Amino acid sequence: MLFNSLDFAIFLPIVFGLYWFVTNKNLKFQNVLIVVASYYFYGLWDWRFLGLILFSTVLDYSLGVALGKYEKPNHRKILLWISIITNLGFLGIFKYYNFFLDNFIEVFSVFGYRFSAGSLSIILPVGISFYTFQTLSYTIDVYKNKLEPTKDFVAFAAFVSFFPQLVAGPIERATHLLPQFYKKRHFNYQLASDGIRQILWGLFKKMVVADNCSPIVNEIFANYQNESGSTLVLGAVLFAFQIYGDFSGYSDIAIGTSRLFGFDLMKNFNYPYFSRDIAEFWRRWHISLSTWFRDYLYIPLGGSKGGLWMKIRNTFIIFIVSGFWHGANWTFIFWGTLNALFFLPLLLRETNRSNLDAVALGKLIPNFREFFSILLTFGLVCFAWIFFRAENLSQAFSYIESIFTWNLLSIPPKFPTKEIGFIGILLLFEWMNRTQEHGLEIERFNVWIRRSLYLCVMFLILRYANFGNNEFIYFQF
Amino acid sequence: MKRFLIKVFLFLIPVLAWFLILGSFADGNTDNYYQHFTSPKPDNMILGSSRAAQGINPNILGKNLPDRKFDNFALTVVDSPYGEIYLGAIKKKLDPKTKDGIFILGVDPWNLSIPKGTDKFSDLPEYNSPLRKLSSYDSKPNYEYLARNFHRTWYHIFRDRESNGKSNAYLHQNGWMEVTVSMKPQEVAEREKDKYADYKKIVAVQHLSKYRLESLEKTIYFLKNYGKVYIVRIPSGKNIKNLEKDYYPQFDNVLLDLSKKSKIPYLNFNSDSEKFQYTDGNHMYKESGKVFTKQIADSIKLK
Repeated sequence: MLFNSLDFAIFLPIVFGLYWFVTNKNLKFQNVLIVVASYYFYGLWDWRFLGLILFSTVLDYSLGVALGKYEKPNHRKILLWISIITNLGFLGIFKYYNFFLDNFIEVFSVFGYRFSAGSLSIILPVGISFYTFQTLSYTIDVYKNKLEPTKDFVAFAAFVSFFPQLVAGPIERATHLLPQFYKKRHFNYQLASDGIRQILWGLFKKMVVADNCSPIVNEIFANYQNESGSTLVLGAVLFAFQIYGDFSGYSDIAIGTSRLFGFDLMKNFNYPYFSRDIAEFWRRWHISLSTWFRDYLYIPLGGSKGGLWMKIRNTFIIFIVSGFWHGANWTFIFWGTLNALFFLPLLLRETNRSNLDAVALGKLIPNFREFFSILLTFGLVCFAWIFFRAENLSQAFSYIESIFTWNLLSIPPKFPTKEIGFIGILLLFEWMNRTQEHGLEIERFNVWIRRSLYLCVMFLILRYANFGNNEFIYFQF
Repeated sequence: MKRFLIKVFLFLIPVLAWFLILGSFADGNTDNYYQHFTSPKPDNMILGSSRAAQGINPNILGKNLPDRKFDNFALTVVDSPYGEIYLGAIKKKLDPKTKDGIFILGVDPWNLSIPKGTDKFSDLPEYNSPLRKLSSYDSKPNYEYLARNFHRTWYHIFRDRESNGKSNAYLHQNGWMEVTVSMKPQEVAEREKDKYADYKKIVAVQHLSKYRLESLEKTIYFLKNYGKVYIVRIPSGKNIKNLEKDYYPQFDNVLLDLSKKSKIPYLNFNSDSEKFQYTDGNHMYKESGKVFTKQIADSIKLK
């Protein structure tokens, strides 16, 4: 079920009504309702993979219980590895099997060995990368004694399958989300109304910004050989806003929806395109994934404790793994490596933590230096996005090569005025709110200004959004 | 909670009003399917794919077969080839009180074929058709159809409505798809060339299907309970006709066998193909369609 679909528009009020008016007296019933609603939500995608979520849930719940019983380090380690191997095994089979097989065949063909193993027709279950990481975080945290193993199977099943964030995150930590299923939830007017505003803002980002940029980006990337250099730059910039609108829009809707049910999900995007360097960008983009890698990969690898070279090595590892997490394609791996390379000067100069606060705090506009840094960072990010968006590496390189032609400084022949206008509105709202939770958190304004702005955003969605099966980009990951 | 619900409801009023008002402007310009799901349940139907949609005019049939009102419920070869989904849609569309209806089933080798490698129901090209999920087939405005199938901003419904001018492909309320394109020989030749190339590609990726034939037979037996059924082979231009001959040489024999088995007439107009004009070598030009429809009516009268 898509957030931007009629099905969800019917599903959400029904679940909301049942949650607060029928099952509100009993926490267990509320959790059961969440599990049932989540399985229904997911089942509409593909009911065949519900068994996979259930298996993952039962496995990690049982391992958690076992970890609570066993104290010997070796036994605990075995339990942890069962979880890691099984969860990553599923991910590997569904997501990476064909990639490894194809590359294996290609490598051996270089040496004259020919294999004719046919690729399996494997469908990637939506959201597998997200809920796998979520269940893994639980077992690892229990193993590290950061979290008491749960004895409430329903609460754990609700944590794994919680429908707002099941298919595309944010990737929640068990330490943060799971305890919320143990506590009685009371309807909170402020939380719920802010949730609605965040949903509205998410819909604007997805349906107006991303979905309107999408056809132009598709056309430019499909015909890049015939486009001018300036059009190709425009294509990369529009893709940057497409993917941002798409994914951060999804996160906003997920977080906003959770708030309606009394849950607090972690912030996943913190105005990343206002970053002054690439390190700041990665502290602000897909935060739940970046911090997952930091906590469960970077730090276990030694983090930055072993000096500069270890820091560099580990940074490269997490970026390459992060690229690979996004998909079984060399383009993602290259994209990850490129970002690590962008990081390198900051690591060498030890300036990767120099921009921790929001830019131009207390000021209306940034100074020239800040503005230049933002532009430079955005340029680097857009450059890397070309690899992320391209079908393969050769298309990406060819695209970049085609940018540097004599018509690079010309005005693109088909200038998307309307879409640039939408991006302008997005940037304006987000700049004004860059210290707030989301772009439509405008409590500080007069009530009539606020209501007028809500109506304006609603009008933009109604007037310019396409209603249909515009899937979210991150569903493929 | 009460305050929250009231506020949300107040903001939802303009949203609902927006959809209700814009949806009420939907008509034959909205898309190529909408009007199929707004007309009253018929007791006389034209079925098949786009050849039938464009080539068989319900008004002409109604004039020549008096006291009858036809509904053309043919969509496209992707959405309405003979199969479980189309039959399900026919069952929902047909007036259940029908006793002596006339049902014209347009056939050609393409709507009895299936893509190679189709081994599951969900692989069928019509699996994502509006015909599969829709429950309402005769409400006007049909908000269910629009909500599920109209993927553009609804402002387009208002902007592109009939009162502002008919589009090139206008779907009449009776289901007839009126296509208005230039019939200058050079432009027709260009379209014919493209269409022929498309069909050459189709030949390579699909094959004749037992499933489709069985579905056609099921459709015939279902409709026989409600009146008389006629299988009609709708002709095409010379090149596609020859392609069809190579692709499915036994087509007419198979259809004749089916007509004998099910005791219904097979009206084969393929030999008359050169008497008609085609917009692209595959679809009949609307004026030729009128002549062709008259011939079908005459043939029915003779049976």
